[in-house]
Amino acid sequence: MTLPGKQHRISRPAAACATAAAASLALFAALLFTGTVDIPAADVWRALGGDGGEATRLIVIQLRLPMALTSLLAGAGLALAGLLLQTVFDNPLAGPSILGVSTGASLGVAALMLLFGGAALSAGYFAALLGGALAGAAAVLAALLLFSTLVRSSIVLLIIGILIGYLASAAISLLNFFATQEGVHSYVIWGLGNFSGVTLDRLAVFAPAVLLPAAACFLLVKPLNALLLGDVYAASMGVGIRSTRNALLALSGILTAAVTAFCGPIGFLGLVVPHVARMACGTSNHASLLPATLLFGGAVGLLCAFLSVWLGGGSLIPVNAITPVLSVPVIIYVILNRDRLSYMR
Amino acid sequence: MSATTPILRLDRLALGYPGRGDVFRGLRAELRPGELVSLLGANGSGKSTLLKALCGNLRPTAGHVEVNGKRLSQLSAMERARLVSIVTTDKAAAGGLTVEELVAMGRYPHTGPLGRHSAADRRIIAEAIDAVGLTRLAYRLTATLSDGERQKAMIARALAQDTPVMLLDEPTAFLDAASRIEILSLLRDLAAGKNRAILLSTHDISPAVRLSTRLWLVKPATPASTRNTLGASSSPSNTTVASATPSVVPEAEAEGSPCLASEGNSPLSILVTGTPAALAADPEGLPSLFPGRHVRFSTSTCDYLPL
Repeated sequence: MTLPGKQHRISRPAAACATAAAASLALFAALLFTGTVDIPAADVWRALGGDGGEATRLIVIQLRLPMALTSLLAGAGLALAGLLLQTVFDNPLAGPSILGVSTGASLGVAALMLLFGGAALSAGYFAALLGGALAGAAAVLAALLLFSTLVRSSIVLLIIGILIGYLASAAISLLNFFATQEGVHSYVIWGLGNFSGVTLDRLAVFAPAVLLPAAACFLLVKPLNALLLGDVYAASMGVGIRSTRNALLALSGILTAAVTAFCGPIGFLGLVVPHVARMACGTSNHASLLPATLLFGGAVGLLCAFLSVWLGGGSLIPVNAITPVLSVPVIIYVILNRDRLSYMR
Repeated sequence: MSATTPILRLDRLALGYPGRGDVFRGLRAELRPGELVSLLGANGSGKSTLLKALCGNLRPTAGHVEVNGKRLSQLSAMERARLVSIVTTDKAAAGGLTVEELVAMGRYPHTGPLGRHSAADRRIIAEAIDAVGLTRLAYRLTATLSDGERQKAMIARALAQDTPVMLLDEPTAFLDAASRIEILSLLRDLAAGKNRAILLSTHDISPAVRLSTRLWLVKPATPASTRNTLGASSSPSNTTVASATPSVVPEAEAEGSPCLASEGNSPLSILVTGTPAALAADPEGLPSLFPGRHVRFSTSTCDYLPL
């Protein structure tokens, strides 16, 4: 007994992933070849090969390349964190920023930056920021986990997440009040969202902090799909609900904390990109969604970076001024069409 | 007594929620391979409580559930998933999965950590889809299916889980009359054809009576039945319910006291089991599901007529 064969041409998820990959590649190249300073394409090529003038090499290798890589990783990491949260909480509007996870991570960063000053920007300092962000994200996720056992409604949980975010913001305001002017300045700059602050040597910390949890997610496709049916069905099929949830929340916490520590609290990408991936792939199967979310997340991160350069005309527009403009229309579309989107039914 | 050995046994099972007393006490009942048993009773009588306990989501306050000779409480989640599958009324947010992907999830407890399907897995999935008649729709998203087709897909998922026991909590709720009878007929064929023990709770008394091999009735314990129970617990070897109410079905006798109630201070339910014909004829059987109404069950057609 076998099922009739599918009419294979190119599967829709594969086509969606290829499109996202192509868009990422194009945007990555755009970030290397264009910028605030005009450099001829031939010189950029030479710089990438390690030749050419020192100034050009500095700009291409030390500024443009790290920014392109950072925006790619940050977009992919946040998108993946959002996908995990949406599946774990069975809530299409969940995301690291809306649930307060980003704000929790920000609180951790603020505590370090404002209490110990923002001057000492050494590699160890960034590792400490990452630790602070992790602690803040973990605290918010633990609170959400607790409330998710108490409230059934996913909308109520969203509201609780938003409220937790406000609490963390209040604590950040208090820290700002007592901090030095210099500390406040660096915190405010950080809080605007920025893909250009991660140098090549900091990428050595940032890249694994995003790539390792991302790789771990691919081992969890099976339980992620089972969770789509709800806890009762998942448990009846042998899923250890509590351990699976904890693992997925920990992974989304690490991803959010890493991006927040290095790039600031970047909103909306985690909420929106999983929807783009689902709509493009026409499925909620995580075997397709995980790669698609990573690729679309990377593409959207690169797009934000590109826009921040292109629209800035000489300086960089804060990333958090761009993400809502790109994201809010998509969220409104999703909400208005929730009865027509197959994956929401 | 049936020739086959029971696959699921309730052994002096007591169920309840903390602080609210027991709903059931001293339950004894059995399910055998190949039988379709309908669990009937009013809302709030304890059907869902019983089903929760049978799939391991509610710890008994006393006694235990045995599946295939092993106590449910001592099995790991994976071991349990290979013995008991469920279908609930929960609307699963699986609209973005195809029927095939949904049914394939039933293989969860049988596949490795990455969930790769062997040729045997794929054959079982195809057979499960075929058994519920959805082969034509195998690659459709479940969001595009009717409620009845969706419920069949969930049943196919449980079939693919390949467990000797299937539990269904109101699988026919939200379905139109034709689909209800279709689902019940399908379940009866699956029970017999694939030798599964299938227990389903339902409010569709008429088709359930017509199509089930046996019935489990959950009824509020009356003072009389409670007294019977107390008698039963003092002399467990005697089937007090049977002796106190001579009309009670033979199978109830065979299984021992299939009853039970609880302490005087808490709400309680009892479980009466038997064949549809026997319970239709017994005033303490099916007619007692309509308290205060005069309902007579026709034993020949197993249908009921409000008088």
